[in-house]
Amino acid sequence: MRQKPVFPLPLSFLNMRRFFLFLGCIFFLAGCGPTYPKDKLITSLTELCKKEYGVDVSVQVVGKTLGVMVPLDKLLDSTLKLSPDVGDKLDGVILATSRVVLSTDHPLDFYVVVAQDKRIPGIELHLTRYIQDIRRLNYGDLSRTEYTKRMLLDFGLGLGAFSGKEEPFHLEEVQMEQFLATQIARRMKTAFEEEPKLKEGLEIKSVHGKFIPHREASDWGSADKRFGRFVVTLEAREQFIGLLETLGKEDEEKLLGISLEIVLEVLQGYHFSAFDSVEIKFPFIDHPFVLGRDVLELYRRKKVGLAELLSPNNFNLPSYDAELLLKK
Amino acid sequence: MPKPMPIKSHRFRMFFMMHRLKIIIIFSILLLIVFSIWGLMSLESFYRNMTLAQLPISVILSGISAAVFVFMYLIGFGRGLANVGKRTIKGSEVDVKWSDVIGMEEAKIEAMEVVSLMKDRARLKKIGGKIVRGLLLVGPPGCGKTYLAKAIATEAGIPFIAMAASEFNEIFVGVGSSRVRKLFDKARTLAYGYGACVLFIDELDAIGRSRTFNMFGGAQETNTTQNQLLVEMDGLNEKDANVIVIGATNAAEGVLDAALLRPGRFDRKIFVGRPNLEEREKLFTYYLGKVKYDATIDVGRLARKSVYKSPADIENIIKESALIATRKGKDIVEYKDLSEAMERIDMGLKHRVHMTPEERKITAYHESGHLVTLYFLHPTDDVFKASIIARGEALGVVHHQPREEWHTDSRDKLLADIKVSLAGYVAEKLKFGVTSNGVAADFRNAMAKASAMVWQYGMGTNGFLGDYTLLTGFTTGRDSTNDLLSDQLKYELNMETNRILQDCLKEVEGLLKKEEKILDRFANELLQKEELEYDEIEAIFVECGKSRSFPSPSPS
Repeated sequence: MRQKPVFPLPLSFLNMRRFFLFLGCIFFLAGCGPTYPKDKLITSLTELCKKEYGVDVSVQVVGKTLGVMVPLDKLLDSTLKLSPDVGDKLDGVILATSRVVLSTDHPLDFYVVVAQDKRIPGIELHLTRYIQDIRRLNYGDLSRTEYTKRMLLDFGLGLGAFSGKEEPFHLEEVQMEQFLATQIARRMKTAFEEEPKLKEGLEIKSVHGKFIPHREASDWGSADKRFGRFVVTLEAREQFIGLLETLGKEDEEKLLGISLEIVLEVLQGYHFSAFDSVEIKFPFIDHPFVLGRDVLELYRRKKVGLAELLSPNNFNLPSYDAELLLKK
Repeated sequence: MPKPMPIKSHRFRMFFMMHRLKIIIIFSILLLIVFSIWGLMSLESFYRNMTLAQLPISVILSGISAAVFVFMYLIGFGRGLANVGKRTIKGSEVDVKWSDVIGMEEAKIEAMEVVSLMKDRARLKKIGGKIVRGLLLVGPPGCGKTYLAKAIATEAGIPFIAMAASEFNEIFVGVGSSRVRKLFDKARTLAYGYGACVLFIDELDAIGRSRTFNMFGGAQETNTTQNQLLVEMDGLNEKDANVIVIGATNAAEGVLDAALLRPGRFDRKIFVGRPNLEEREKLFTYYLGKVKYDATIDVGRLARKSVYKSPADIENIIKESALIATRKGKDIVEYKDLSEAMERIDMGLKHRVHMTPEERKITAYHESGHLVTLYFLHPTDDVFKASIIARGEALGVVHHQPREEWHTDSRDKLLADIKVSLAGYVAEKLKFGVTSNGVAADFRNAMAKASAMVWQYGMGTNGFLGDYTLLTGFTTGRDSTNDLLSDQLKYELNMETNRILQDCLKEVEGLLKKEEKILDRFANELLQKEELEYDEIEAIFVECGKSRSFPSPSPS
């Protein structure tokens, strides 16, 4: 009979079950705790930018927005374009900021990176990102194209969110509604620029988006009582104003269709429902289109079409009241 | 029982030798875990959490991949993985002591001697004797060879590795010899740690048959496996490893390769034969002790009734009788259940065949003829049962067995067998004037015996001695035209065969005419009861005032 060998090693120590339980605990404990805790957030990001990219930055947190000011010796070259060496530094700061906001326990929603030319402090580059978008990109829940569309990039003189002269600089908290309104406007501009089917020669000069809370407006009627309204204003180039008068019904439908698709895409993409209506002002149409949230939903579900929305009979309805619209 | 303890100075090394693979695997896993933790801790918390969040799904996916791999492997390679765990049978749970070994006294004594040699190895070496390296257990199936091997291992108090020789063989070339090497490596390792190890190879003939050498190389794999076994056994150096190989086989000695049997390999053979009367009694007592049984059962009678039965047969009889008793709703096993079990094993299951009254009567007389003739004329056998219930191909049967083992058949016994065989025919003819083809098997038996008496055993009365079958063309492998026997000689031998049959026939006719009353009585009893047991048969003979008339048994 083969006897069980007497183990010379202290197997009680190597009690496999306990041992692996212990290892498991270590394994999971390894996942505990943020890398950049709330109280060291600003220091961590400043040191990270300095250590890894050699850039001195100023960091500030206002509410749920983190701001990073990057003063650069030469933001623009002699042709007024971004200097080539600025790109690497800026990329590094943006990456560092993304890393820090992802691994902190501070409740942040947005970050804004501002690159400022030390020579001409009024020239600024603003980058605004919604932090949840960065997480979703990492989870593979967002495409790179959509991620790029969700980022707000502004470049120009005196954009205003920061003032580099002040120490510490002044940062305004980014509001979700405003972020979305701006994003809708940016997307619309890009869409109209890329849309080949628009009437030849027609060019949208600019698109502005803003969110007006209901308390700031008095003439909206009963529908806009809870949250507020997205207002998007499209402007055409002056030389084409005359051309706009020749737009037909079909062109109107196209413009409104594209606009509404973008509005729906953005608001649905963020699951945002804290609004009452959307107003779109086209340069060639006298009256603005105001669609209540319910009507927008009906349009999304294809219960009402563009023709019905553009019907002059319906303009008189208060904010395109969904019930009345369906009754008609 | 002395518990084997490893030699202190060898403990760590033996532990490493035995568990080398396990140690490497555990160490690698630990290393991987440490590196994983290290890696995780160096990640920023977001990426760390993301990695950890993916772990469960990774584990599930790995499990699915592993399951798919195993499934494909099993599909592709048949029993591929199933074999891994079966290569060695752990004897750690085997606990067979000398007291458990019954029914093989002589073999046991020899085995005990071997065990004492294993234990006194040091003393033996001092004297200069040689340790037993191989032990071959030979004998018929079911006689306890494996059991004896287990007892040897238990009593010697050393590790025991068991493996069936058939497990060495696989469809892949070279696997057999590789397994032999691994097995011996393992045995040597254990021997290193414990001082000795028993390696038991069951059904040795699977790899131990005489090697064949031909140009086609058909048996090459078996030869290679056996060669490896020869090398391993011969290569054992008693200074390094005290591995005792025990082989067990049913095959006759001539079947195994001569190289295996030479001194230095299987240099000691133990014949494990069928038990004798006394041993059978012990076996019945032992196995009956494992079931609840009627205390009035005569174990001696059971032993007498089970001549030529192996221990496994006896165990089977007890198990079968317990099943029968359970089926009948009894709490204990009775003699009748044992008798039925024995009969079921020997004669097969009963099955009801519809017979006409006439055919039933013929069958009853046929069997009664056998019974009466056997009782009066057979020198060695007793009738244990007569029946006219069909079993297998037979419509009726008279079950008889020798009262004691005979290893040779005397002339009287052979003649009595012939007479008993012819008795069914005589009884039918005597009572009905005609006979049936139901005598075919009886005639075959009678003819074979009569022919063998004359042609092979020199038991004829015409003076011919010798085994004439050796001179026929069929036996010598030549065609019948070249056989060495003249037609005249064959004629005379056949005439002598016929004369024996005729003499026996006459004697049986005389007996049955003389004992017609008792023949009628048994036929009627069988028609009424269908079956008669030993006791009933004896009672009827006593009642009729009859006793056996054969001469006292003696081998010729």
